[in-house]
Amino acid sequence: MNKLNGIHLAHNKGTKKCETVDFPLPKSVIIPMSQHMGAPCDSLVKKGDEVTVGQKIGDSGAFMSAPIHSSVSGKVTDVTDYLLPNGSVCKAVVIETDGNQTVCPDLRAPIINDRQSLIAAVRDCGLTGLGGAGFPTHVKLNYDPAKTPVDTLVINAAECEPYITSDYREIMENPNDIIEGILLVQKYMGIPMCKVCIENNKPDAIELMQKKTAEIGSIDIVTLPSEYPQGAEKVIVYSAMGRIVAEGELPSHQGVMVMNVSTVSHIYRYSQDGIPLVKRRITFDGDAVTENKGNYFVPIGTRVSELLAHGKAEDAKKILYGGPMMGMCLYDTEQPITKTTNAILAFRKGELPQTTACIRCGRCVRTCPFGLMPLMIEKAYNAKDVEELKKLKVMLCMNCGCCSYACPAHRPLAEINQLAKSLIPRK
Amino acid sequence: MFFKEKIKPPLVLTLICLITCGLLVAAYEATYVDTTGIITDKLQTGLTEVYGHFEDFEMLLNDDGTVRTYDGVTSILSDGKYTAFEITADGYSKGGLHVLVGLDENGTVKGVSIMTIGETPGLGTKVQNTDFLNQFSGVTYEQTIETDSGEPVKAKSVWGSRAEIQSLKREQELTDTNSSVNFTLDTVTGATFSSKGMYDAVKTALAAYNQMEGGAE
Amino acid sequence: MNGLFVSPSPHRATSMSTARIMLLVIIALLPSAVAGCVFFGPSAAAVFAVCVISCVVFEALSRKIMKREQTVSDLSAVVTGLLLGMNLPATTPLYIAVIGSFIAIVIVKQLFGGIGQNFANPAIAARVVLMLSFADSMTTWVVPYWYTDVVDVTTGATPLTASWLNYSEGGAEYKMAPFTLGEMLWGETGGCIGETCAIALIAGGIFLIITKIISAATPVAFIGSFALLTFIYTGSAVETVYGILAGGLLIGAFFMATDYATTPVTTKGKIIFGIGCGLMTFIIRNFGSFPEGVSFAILLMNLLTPYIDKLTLTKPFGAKMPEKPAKSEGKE
Repeated sequence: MNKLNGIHLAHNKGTKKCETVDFPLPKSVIIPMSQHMGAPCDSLVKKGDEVTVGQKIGDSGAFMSAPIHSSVSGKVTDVTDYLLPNGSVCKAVVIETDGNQTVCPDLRAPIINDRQSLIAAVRDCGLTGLGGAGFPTHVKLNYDPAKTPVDTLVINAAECEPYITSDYREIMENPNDIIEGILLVQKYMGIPMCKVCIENNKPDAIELMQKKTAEIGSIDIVTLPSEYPQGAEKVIVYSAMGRIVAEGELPSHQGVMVMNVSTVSHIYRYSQDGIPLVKRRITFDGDAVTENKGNYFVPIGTRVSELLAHGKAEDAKKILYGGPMMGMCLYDTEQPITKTTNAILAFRKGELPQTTACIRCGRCVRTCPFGLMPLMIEKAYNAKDVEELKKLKVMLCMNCGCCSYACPAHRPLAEINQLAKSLIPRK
Repeated sequence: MFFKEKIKPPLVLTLICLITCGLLVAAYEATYVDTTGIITDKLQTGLTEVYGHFEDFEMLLNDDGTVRTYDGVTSILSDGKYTAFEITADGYSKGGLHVLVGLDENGTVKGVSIMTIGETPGLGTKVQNTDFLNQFSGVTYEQTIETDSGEPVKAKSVWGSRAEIQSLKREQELTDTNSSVNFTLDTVTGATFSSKGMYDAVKTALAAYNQMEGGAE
Repeated sequence: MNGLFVSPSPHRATSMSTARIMLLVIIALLPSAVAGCVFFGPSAAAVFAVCVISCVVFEALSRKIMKREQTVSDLSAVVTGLLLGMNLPATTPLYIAVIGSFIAIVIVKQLFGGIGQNFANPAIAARVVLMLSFADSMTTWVVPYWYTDVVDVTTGATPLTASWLNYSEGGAEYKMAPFTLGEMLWGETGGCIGETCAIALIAGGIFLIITKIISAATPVAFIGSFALLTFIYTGSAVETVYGILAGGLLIGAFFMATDYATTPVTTKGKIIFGIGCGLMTFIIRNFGSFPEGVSFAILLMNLLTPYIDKLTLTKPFGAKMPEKPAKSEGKE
């Protein structure tokens, strides 16, 4: 088995020892109706409505979607247009908190007794992948076992991005929830094997999980090398099982389902208390944060400016949703925490080194986990040569950023890959 | 697809090159003028270079009227006193040296003139150097008779120390000076093969003269 | 609080830069350059100085005239100048060094678009042009430490032009190398300024491999294929080692055949490139009309690089390759 390429990054996991605390309730929250991959939700509330914690405020008829719940109790002050960091516009519900955090009286722990009820419960929970991509979890569970039988559940606890420690904290604080969640999914989905994959820079997490699962035969703990991007779906499937998820395939085609460690433990918690995804753990770090770095449970919809004020990060020049490798920049500090936000990182310096001419050193090729050739893709992109781009398999690029990182000429190769993808007509 | 994209273009280019070369050869053949038996401008220049004049020289013919040749000798020119040999010798490239070796009335070399040179520019062409060519003046047939076998012996290659190398070099120099009978050529650095080719040309001329027994009638 | 900086991911970049790569190459070249100056004296140092300065000046001027952004600070012109100087004999007239720098920087590099765009290694192309144009000065070799002899210039043969010494002992024929193994390794032989000191070149090459500036694939394939062919041809380990240490093979394999812009990108491509260079060097040295073939070999392989690149595209992870041929040919 050949090792996939990757890069070694400084881990910067300074918040690793910070136990998660509840973030003070903000005065108001803004909850976008699109926090997941797929169709945005329609707002179920209007200006002036009173809402409670866990009340469904957004849903969609589309399959590829997940409902959205209010994270606070209070009054809807506005339903506005909101510009998402990816450039599209959706509705967002602005709620003024009343400070009581009254829990919605309709919430009940779901009754799960088969596959369908599990999937329905996961959808009701509004759960999406908490690792960052925001793939609706119920869609992932809803594979056809006759066509693509899944024999292994891979739990992604690699957390290969620098700074972020939220998944690590999940393991350290709620190991039992994780194990119960795994067993729940295994039981109702009929998946015999589970591999929990943790990078070797978290030895205490590995040790803890090994101790907790020692008695459970169906759960294996896999130690991954700490090399970015071990946590990428295709990479982790290959590293953990040696299976190759080919072009155009989902992991289920290879009999694998990959789930983030925080996602799986949330399934368990929802099955117990019936409280949907209304708050999540985020890592708050970065060199612009002068105090109160750490891990917080933050209500979904909390504005990032509240966090920055809490951390006295006045001179932040660049603020990221997520890690420094794949995270997205905030254009405004009034943007909220969403379901997919696993970290808020604030940095003093925004500019990257100046771009110079490509010297064909081949570092981008040597670091690409998928063996793509970004330097050739850039050339083909500049020539708008769609045939060549197809031949170079640009569609496989997962935007991990290794090429841009490694480029001594500091060319924005990952960005160009994404632009190049848009040239290729979808079938 | 692999053939069409990767193999075909270079194949086509190679074919174009071959065809062009073929056309060039055909053109050369079509326009080739046979100069056998004629004292060409080149020969005249060569003769003038060696003897100072060319007017009295005539090409020696066999009884049947064909040009008289010897092994390696294209033509022989004589004015009754001096004899000159037109020789094409191999340098680094085959037939790269087209020279005229002029002998005096005693059969020793009077001068060597290079008429055409097809050697590596800058390296092989260094044999045109006057200092190098002057070495041949006065060389006799006897001096060029090989004493060593000439056949390359399969020798075992070894490293030596500086002292060993020096002593071997001295030894060889000694052998060279002792056998003053033999002519030794100072080859031009970087033009070993061309130098050897020139030496071969001179040797061929002297051998041919010797074969003619007493030179021209 | 506003004025946030927004850019696409990733938000981290390596500390490596083009200038730093070039700096490391310069550091790797220094031992052999210094050795060259020691062996061949002040005139060697003068050739270096003229090559480096004129390369930098030509780079700056041509960027200015072409109204392009200045690229002198990436140090690539210094590397080219240094490499060119190392590939010239110590007695090269300085105006020839300037012409060489002009060919390297202006004609080969800048006219094709500057760094990364040149079709051939600038230093190699310049050396070949100079060799064909000024054959006399380019093939005049002085002996090491000639400059300490104040009376006259002592020229001598290079390891590739010197003839082996025949002798017989105990009925067996022997052929002794004209230089000792120590002299070959240390570099006390005739030759271009920077190509003689094998130890310094190998040390520089290993330094570049360890710092991951170059891949070991090219030098190993180049030297390996040359050694194998020479050993098969001569059947002698002595001649094989001699051949590796002689001439420009080591500087070529470590510093010229590993130039990023003019050699293939993938490891497979680099191996093919190296083998091609080794084969070509072997053929030119043994059967060609020049005693040394390294420059020609690398130059010719430079020209083949785009083709090798096309033939050695990587196979992306999980890519489904045989799409079209399966449809058109598979059915027949």
